[in-house]
Amino acid sequence: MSKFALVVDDSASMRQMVSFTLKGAGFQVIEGGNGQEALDKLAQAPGGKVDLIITDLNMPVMDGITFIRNARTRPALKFTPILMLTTESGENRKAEGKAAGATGWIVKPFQPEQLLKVVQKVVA
Amino acid sequence: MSIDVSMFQQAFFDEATELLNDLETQLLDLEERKADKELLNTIFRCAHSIKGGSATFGFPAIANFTHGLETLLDKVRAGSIPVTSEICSTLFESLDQMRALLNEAMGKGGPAPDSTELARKIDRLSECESRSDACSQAESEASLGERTYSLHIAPGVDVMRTGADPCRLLAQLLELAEVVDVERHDEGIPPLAEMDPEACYVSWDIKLQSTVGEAEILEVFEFIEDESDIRLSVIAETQQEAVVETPEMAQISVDKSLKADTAMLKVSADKVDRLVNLVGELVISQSMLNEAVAEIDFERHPRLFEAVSSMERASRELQERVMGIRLVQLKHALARFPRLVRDISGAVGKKIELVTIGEETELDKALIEAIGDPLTHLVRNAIDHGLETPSERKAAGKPEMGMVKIHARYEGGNVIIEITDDGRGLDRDKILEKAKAKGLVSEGEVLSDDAIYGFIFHPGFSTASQVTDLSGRGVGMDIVRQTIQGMNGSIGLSTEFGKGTTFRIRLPLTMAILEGLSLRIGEEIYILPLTSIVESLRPLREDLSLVAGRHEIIRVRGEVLRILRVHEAFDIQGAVTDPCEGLLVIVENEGNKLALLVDELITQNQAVIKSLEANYRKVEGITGATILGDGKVALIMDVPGLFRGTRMEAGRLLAS
Repeated sequence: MSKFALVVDDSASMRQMVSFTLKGAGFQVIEGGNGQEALDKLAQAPGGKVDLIITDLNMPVMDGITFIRNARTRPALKFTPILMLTTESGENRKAEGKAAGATGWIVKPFQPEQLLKVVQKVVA
Repeated sequence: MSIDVSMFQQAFFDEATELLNDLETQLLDLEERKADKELLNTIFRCAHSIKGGSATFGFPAIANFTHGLETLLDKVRAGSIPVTSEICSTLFESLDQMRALLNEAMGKGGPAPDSTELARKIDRLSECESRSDACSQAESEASLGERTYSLHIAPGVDVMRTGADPCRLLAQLLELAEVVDVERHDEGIPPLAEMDPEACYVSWDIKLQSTVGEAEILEVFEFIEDESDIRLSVIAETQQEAVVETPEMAQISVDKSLKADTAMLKVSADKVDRLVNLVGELVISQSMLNEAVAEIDFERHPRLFEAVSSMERASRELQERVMGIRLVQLKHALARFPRLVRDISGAVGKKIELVTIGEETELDKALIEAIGDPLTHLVRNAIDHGLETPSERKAAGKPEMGMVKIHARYEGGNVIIEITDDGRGLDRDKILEKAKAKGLVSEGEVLSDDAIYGFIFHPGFSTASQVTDLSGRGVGMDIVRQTIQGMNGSIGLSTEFGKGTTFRIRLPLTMAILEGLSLRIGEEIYILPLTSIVESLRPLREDLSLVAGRHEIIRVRGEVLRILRVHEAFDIQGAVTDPCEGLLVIVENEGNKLALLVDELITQNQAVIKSLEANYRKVEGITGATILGDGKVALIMDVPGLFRGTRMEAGRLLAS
């Protein structure tokens, strides 16, 4: 059974890179351009359940914090690792994200290898 | 194999270009709605995305510059810095700088100007003293001897509720260190009845041996450190020659086939062009096949006919789809206008509202690129000459705010782009006067309004009494017309004095294929572009007459048209010379009509245009060649060129 990951970012290039990296690590990837789109697209995963969520915080329509809060209320995603993409300047947003239910974070900019290292912390 | 981020650079370039265009629109909006919180958020997000992408994909110059801008924008959107006009103009300057930096990164347009001055200004505005490096990389670990650590981990009761898995973290730990001893503490586990299966009650004391530093070990737990009790201490250290051991980087095996698994595909224009050419060849082969099959007995080969007709359907669709690849929304050509209008309106002191309709209309990419300059010229003209100053407008009973409208739409196989202003309109008498002064009109000549307005497309014709910085330099409208004609398009205008002017540009959807009518003159076959044909007729003798002893004309429903004997113009032997025995094809160009004498019409067909210039040389009156169904070559007539040849500019009626 392959693992599913949900990648949420309004930047297509960022999404592309994260997805590509995750695919290389054996994930099937679902992408969303913002929180709302991501929630809608969750239906594509079996049972609406994914093994990993990586989300940006600054996004139009539905931002990352709201998205994390929403995702956490879904039973299928109760324990799903959620990593947020933050920037150094967004230090205070880490706490906000964690309070919303995020598992961890990755500080931008990062290299694909660094991303995988963080992913391994939360997904087997 | 590691992943090279440079493979995502193109995606970043596309995205950043788009973001900068969006940013431009947003900044223009900001001038109108300085207090719009949502707009400020959008602007911030834009800068934020550009910074994030440029840092990730290896463009520190863009990242560093944008970082300062982001800081400023963050304060602006938080309301701690008001949106002043200084802020606005600095943001516009920054936009230009980011564009320049991006172009430099893309290898276009040379090195960007130095950012230092502007960056300092941004820092000053955001009251931020020093600029931190947005792209600092993680410091490299110092090499250490082997250490023995004692680690106490008591995860917070709720860690699992945020998706953290303590087992996973311990497994991570194993990658960094060797576990010498583990002591698990289960005392915290409550009786079953009181136990919450989602809570974490266990803690550990672990003795580890590792060569990595404390920071790296603690980093494993960084996600849970706030809510957990984690203590790490060094209990022994063996002094050892430092062995540099880089932490094992995750190895990723990348399946190449995954690369294509995206919704968008980037393909080089070359490949598409080759595809377009091939499809062109296919269309020709298809029509050759059709002709060949037409001579075969249908009854005896039903399957052949079936196959040919299904192939024809497929190749027609293939052609449409391939042409579709090259189509780009007009939006890309219009993106520059809001800024242009803003800058010009400031320079000439006029108030202007720019309205664009039908931005999503699609055109061939080559046409989109080529139409930019003519459109710019027309919009500049509309603002500079067309629109009045606010006081003049007030005096004329118009709203102070002038309007320039760009309206694009499909019409048949063409795209129509109209540039309308609600300004003063063209001055018919002034143009006529000027035309007479330039010797374009002889005394006593009677001209239609359309013909008079047509003079503004004449080389060196400008009615602007003063040459301004923007337009009115005498070069212009003729170049605009030439460029548009070069695209197989045409331009016309309608105007009402005091009310405004509309320029109407008609362009084909694509330049590669032409809907044409094939016709015979003598033994030769020519193609006429369908868009320029009005009608064809066989004249009655009494409708024909001779003007000034040499110009043949025909009356068609009260209209007088000049006849062009194509066989004479192209020197073709054996053609029909009596108009009453041949056919007159009436063609139109910018409102002027001309009757072409030909032998007969053959059929309507799609001609794949082959450049004559590229294969032979430029020929007056001919735009290109095409290959017919039977493999013969036919020349495509250049209708505007034919008009030029007859020197019948503006459909002048000769006073008889």
